Amino acid sequence: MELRWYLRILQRQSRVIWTSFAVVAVLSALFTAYSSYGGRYKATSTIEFYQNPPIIGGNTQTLNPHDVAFGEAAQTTGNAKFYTQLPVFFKAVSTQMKSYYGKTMDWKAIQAGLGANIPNGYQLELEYTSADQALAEHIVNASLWVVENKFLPQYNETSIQPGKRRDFISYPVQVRILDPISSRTPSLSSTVIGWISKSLLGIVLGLALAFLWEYLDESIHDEQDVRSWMAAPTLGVIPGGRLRSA
Amino acid sequence: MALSSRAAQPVRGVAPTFGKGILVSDSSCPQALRAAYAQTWLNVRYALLGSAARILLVCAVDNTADAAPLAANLAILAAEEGERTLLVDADPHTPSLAGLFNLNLNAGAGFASLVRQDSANVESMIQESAVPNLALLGGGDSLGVPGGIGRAPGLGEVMMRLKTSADRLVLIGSPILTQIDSLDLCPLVDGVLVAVHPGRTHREDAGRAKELLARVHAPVLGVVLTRQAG
Repeated sequence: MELRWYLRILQRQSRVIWTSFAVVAVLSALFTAYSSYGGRYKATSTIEFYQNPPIIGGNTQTLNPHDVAFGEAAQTTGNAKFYTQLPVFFKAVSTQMKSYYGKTMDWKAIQAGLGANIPNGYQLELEYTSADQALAEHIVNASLWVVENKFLPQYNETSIQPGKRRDFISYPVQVRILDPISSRTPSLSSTVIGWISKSLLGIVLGLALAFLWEYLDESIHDEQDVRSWMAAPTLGVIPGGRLRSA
Repeated sequence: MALSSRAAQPVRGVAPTFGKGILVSDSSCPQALRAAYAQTWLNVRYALLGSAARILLVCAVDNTADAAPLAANLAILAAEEGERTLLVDADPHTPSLAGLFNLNLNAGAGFASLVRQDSANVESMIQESAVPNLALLGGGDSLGVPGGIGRAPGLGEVMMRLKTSADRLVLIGSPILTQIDSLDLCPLVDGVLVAVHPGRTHREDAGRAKELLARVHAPVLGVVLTRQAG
């Protein structure tokens, strides 16, 4: 019974659902075409943080040095990601762009296109999307430089504090490039899949609108409503609107 | 004051103009529309099967639906079957026959005027239509009185004469929630058909119409969902 009720709503509101799907599909197609226009390049590079296992003695011998090193590296990765979202990072990248590549860029423009992800616990992926392939690669390169030469030394100094303490000799966290900078354009399949997935959102939106409309609408719709509200059979359904003449 | 605030509409004094092709007798009537009315008439015939019912009242729940095209088309289909059919506009507040059949009916003469007289000449007011076997009787003048048909002195006699003048009598009633005339006519008819506009007629109004019809023991045959507006 409930399933029939849902099916009736889908039948009645099919126009809303298809319209929503069509509108979102068209908008999505326009957006995809705009994004693809002129070639959009995504430059990415992945770096990995690591630390040599500390030398542990005295009362802390129960600790596994490798676990401690991995923990420090993971924590550093998290902090590095946090750092890559701060204005100070983007300003440093902007400065590096000017000094190394002679390219003046507002740090907010860099902020708009630069992204950082953690693919696993110790790795940080930096990416930048632009219509200019060289610019994308330069910004990622400058970002790597800032992480390695601005963030990491300061982090080692304030948080890791390498050196010998009572029962503990620790080493600074270091970084190595895991994947060199590579840039690529979105493939046709990923573009199509992206468009289809966005278009499917239109159906979801249409379904939501259909059920909301149904919930708000308190009029008689069909034979089932007539049975419920008037306790009488429906003897006919006369169509309206534009009908084709005989 | 109208029973339902949603149904409250000013009483229209002029006949509305209907589009061509709204009647199944028109050559320009869409095939789908004709088929829908034919199916509806068939279902009405099934609902009346086994009874000697001859008087059918067609009325809407409120002003969201229009009973006139439905009643007119059922009358035409009955006439096409060979029954001598009389279509009566029993809604003097919104006369519709003139617009439907493109006729010049005397605005002052009609059903409402007949029932207010003690000895009316019914036959003189009936007018033949272009459809074979189908005669028409206009709504007359409501005189601005809301309702009152139920207490009219000649109602019983007029209904008796109309009944004898045709094999089938189809009455166009006023909307149930806006005028009381249809409810007054219910005890005198053999079947009541209620028109509902899907998507416009409110559920609560439909429920109230059902209650009112039950209160006057109306012989409700069923409901017709009609999207056609006059």
